[in-house]
Amino acid sequence: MLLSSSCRYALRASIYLAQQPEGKFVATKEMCASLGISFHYLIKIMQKLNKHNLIQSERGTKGGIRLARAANSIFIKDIIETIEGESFFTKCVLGFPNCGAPDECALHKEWVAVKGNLIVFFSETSLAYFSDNDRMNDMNQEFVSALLNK
Amino acid sequence: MVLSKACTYGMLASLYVAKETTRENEYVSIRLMSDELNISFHFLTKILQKLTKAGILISLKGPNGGVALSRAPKLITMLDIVIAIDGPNLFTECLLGLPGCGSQKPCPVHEKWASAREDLRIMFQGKTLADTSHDVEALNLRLSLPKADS
Repeated sequence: MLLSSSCRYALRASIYLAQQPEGKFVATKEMCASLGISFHYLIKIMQKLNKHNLIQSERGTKGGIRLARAANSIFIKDIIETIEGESFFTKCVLGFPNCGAPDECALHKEWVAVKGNLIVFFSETSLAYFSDNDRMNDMNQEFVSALLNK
Repeated sequence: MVLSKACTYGMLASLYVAKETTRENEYVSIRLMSDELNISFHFLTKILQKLTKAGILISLKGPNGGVALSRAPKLITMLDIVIAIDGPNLFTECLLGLPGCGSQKPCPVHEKWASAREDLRIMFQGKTLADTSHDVEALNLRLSLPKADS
């Protein structure tokens, strides 16, 4: 498992927000129901995203949660780093502290190459990728319903 | 990031066994391995049990006992060790943790993630214990954990 459960839910919640009309606040209760997670769990995740200026929240009857900026300027990598910590993309695959030449681990060279590709994927994929309705329509509809509870 | 602590320790332990058994074809003492790698004895035995159960190691009880590789190190890949300890989930699961995601029913990031996780699988599959152990010796790569971590 590459990502923790919290991180997976953070991504799913962010994709959900990217699917909404721009600027619209979504009620927290509605989000919980759509994503199938508890209020408490969602709030914990949203607080972290809020702290890193990825989402905004507003109290009151018309309040809720929305992306803090345009979906094309928030990348999967931002969300992963926020939830998993900044060291997520710098850690050694075998867990050694300060792994690197001249004191490197047995998988260092291979890992650097594979990790580089992963980082490119995560830093090139913005939330706008998921707000593209054509793309979402190409996906299996049963699946999109499961993800977004449409 | 990608592997559990138990899994990284399992790799180090397997490399240690590979290194020690090239010198003398005997069982490697678990106590000695624990001291040299700075992995707690209790945790190490648990990991070695998994590797034994998966058929990667064989164990012998008694005063001259310990563990040995079950087959030639060129016939054991790092992928075998990952699967023995962490299971195959890393190479099969959806990035977003959505059940039922696959090429028939792709989630929005399925294609990209499937290719990234395949790179990961190939990286581990491409390294046999023999090659890796040879590199560790020839290039004097890290094998022991820092003492504070034990």
